[in-house]
Amino acid sequence: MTDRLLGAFLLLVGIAYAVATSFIQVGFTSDTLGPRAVPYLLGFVLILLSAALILRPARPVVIEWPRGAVLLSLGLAVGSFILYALAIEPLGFVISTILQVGFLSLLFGARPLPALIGAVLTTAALYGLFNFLLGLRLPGGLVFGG
Amino acid sequence: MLALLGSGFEYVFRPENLLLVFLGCFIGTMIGMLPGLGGSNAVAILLPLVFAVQLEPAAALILFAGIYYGSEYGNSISAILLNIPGTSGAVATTFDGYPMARNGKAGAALAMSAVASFTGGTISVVGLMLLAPQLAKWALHFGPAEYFVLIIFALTMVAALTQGDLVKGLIAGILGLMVSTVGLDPAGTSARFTFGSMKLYDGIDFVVVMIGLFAVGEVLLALERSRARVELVEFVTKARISFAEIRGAMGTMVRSSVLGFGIGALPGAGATIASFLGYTLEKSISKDRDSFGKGNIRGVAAPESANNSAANGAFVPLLTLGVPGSATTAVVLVALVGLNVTPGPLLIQNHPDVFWGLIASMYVGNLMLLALNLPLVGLFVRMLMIPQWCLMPAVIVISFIAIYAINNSAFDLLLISGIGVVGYLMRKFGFPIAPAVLGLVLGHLMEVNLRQALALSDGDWGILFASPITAVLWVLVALGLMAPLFPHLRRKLRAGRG
Amino acid sequence: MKHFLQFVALGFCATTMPAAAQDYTPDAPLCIAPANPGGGWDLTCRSVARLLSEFDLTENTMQVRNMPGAGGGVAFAYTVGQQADNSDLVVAASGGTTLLLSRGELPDLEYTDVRWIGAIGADFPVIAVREDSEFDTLDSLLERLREDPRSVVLGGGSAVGGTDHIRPLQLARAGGVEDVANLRYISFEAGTAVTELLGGRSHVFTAGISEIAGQFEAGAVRILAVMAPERLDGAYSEIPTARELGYDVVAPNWRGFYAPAGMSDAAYDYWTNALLTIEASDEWAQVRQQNGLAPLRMVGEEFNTYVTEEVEVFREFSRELGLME
Repeated sequence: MTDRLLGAFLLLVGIAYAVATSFIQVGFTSDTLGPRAVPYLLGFVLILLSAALILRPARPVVIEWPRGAVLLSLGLAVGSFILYALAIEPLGFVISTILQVGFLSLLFGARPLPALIGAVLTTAALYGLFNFLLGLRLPGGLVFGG
Repeated sequence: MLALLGSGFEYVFRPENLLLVFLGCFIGTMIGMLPGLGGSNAVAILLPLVFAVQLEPAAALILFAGIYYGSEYGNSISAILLNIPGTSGAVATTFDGYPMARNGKAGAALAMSAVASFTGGTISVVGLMLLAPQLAKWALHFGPAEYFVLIIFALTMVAALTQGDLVKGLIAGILGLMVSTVGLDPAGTSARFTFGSMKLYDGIDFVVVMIGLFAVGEVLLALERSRARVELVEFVTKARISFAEIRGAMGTMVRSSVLGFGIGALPGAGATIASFLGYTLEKSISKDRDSFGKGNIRGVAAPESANNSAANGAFVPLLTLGVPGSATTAVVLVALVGLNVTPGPLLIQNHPDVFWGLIASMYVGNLMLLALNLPLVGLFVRMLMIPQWCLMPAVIVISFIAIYAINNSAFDLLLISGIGVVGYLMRKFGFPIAPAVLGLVLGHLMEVNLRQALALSDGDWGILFASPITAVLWVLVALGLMAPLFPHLRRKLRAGRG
Repeated sequence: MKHFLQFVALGFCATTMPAAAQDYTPDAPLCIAPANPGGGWDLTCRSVARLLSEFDLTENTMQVRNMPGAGGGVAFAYTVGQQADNSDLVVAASGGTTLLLSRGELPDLEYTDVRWIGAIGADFPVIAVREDSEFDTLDSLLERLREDPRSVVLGGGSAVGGTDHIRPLQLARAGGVEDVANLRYISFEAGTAVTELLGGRSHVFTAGISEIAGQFEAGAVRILAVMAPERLDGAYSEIPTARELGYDVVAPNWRGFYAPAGMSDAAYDYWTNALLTIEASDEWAQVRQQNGLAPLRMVGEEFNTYVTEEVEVFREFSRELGLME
């Protein structure tokens, strides 16, 4: 059943992709194939394959989905990735990284104090690595001057 | 030639140059270990430094060669230990390297990887020394039509690589190909699937996708396991690699090295195709195919020899034609030009010191890498003993920062978060990740070459079948498509006989 | 068109401006290279940063920031949108930048949204063929293009409608080819254009001279013409210019800089003078040589006007190729 639902979803993806392909602008000096041919082909193949997924005999697939607290912690982790992505420029590397590492450590079951110490040490090590050894520009943020 | 090689060695064995080889290998290994960063980043990062201290061209090349080898090896470390390949060239290494680590044989896998890299490096250096000019001429016969068929051949490997559900493997491959169509089309005139956003104009960097699918996806799985208290059988044995194992993989390493070198010498094809092809070749000729993907040591030896060999092969077009064959050699090209060496057919003649110094440093670099890393295997393995709550957040942050540093774009970070969720879901639904990466890496190349081929022939599809090379490749494609059927056939034959 | 050419000529003849008194020095000079480390723009930024320090033109070393994306479009949008008043900022640019802007592909952005500071080096496009090609001269090639335009494959490194495409079309137009949109140009990736020429699949190479220098030295290719105002130095001095062959096309693929529109006049004077000082130095000559660039000096107002002319040329050909309305 899971496979069939998934197949239906992928079928929609294939159709949406093919429809989006028809909106691609084509200049008249385009080559033989032009920019639409390959995407049309790919969309078509995906539609065929997802049809195969829907129509073939059901297979007993057991997927253990996370629930309850596990699902919540996964959601929180993904949420923290997004916050980290949004905060890294305004807050700067140091603060945002300490927060991110600390939070993830807690999710992975660390006690608060080791998590905090780990976060500070990890951040310091990475700062040294990226800033001094590799010479990559890390976002300074508001605190350390942007 | 021996005299020239001798003078090359003399040059490399100067203390300051030996130090450069060592530094290159060391820095390369460290950078390669970090998810998202590979040899081309390391070389690019060091480029300004090289200009600033006005390093001699030969010395700069020595440093770069060391970095190149080091990073190839470093990539395999995180691939084996964490199932997170640093670059696409190391994806095939995860197939058997990570299962080996899970079986407690991380040390053996890492040592095999080091030995295989050494073998690949050594065989390809000999090839570079003896065959570079001839190979370059051969590579000139490879036009867009030939590349297109080669890529089609590489894509048929999706079928051969997929274990279990073939339909899902193919879907993963198609999804990868679809992602590769985002951005400016190969002719550079139409923006596709960008939804008017300039951020998608250059397409989605495959490093971003790889890190999302592998690193972020893997961390999410690890989090689920740790919250659900699924204890992984996590034990580290002192199992060292045995000579018998190395001897057993000798044939594998030699075949993969030769294959990798040939493919690396084609500009643009590179380490990814080489490593996948090497792996598939070994799997399909092996007597115990079923053990591949479950921790067969030859499944580590093949891609690791092939990708190192291909990395060296990429120097063929650079040194003989002045055309870079990979991202790293492209940066090396800039360095050469900046150091007043014009890469081209006359390089070997006009700058013998550069060419032979490079050859010698490749020998030395290979040896140094082996000597440096075999003793460190034990140390690397201990990475597995770092508690998850400490290691996994670091993996996330390193991935994010590496991605941020490459493009200076916070948008890419949102992308890897989303792609990470997709990677997690793909694993849950039983989709293999490797075909998606293969599709993504090859999708752009496939379309570029198909369209160039048809432009060259002014629309005549016959060009795809016109040359002897395309004919041979089409035969391989047919064989590749039938490969998944072989076990069935064999079983049927056996059943018929019995 | 004519005006544009006169303008280029003017640029080459201009004498050095007298150095004005420095009443502005940037506090935190920054150069944005709109590409990854290692590319042409990156090298332009880094070389200029080094020379600014060497000549004591800055107190604090100029920082280089890589901002790849959309062929320079990301950096342009950032400069216009978020750094409009920054007097300490310059951004590396080239003919590819003006091409991008001429098409209007960057939503709501125009080339007039920034101040153009100057160009201090150029890679000149060439018309090159393999050493055994049937085309001995530019004339014979143009004759064939007039008679049988579909029989010749032109190959360059840039996209369809990119500089490597438009430059030879300018030349073909000057050589009497009516329907330039009918010519066959194939966009190869950088470097591949060379191997395709050597492999005999494409017939004419149309990118910059620096990309084919090694093959030229080795005698593997012949260069029929270079689109420079006058002959280049050294080994290239045998190559005729398109102009002396009677086709008046001068088309530098220049390397230079633009700055935010809100930059103060004092700062603008500072940057133009700094570029003039650097351009005239032996150190810059060395950098140019190392990067395969020929001398070019167009700084300040004259450069601004040149950019305007160039955008017009690009627009004209883009329209003919059907790439814009």
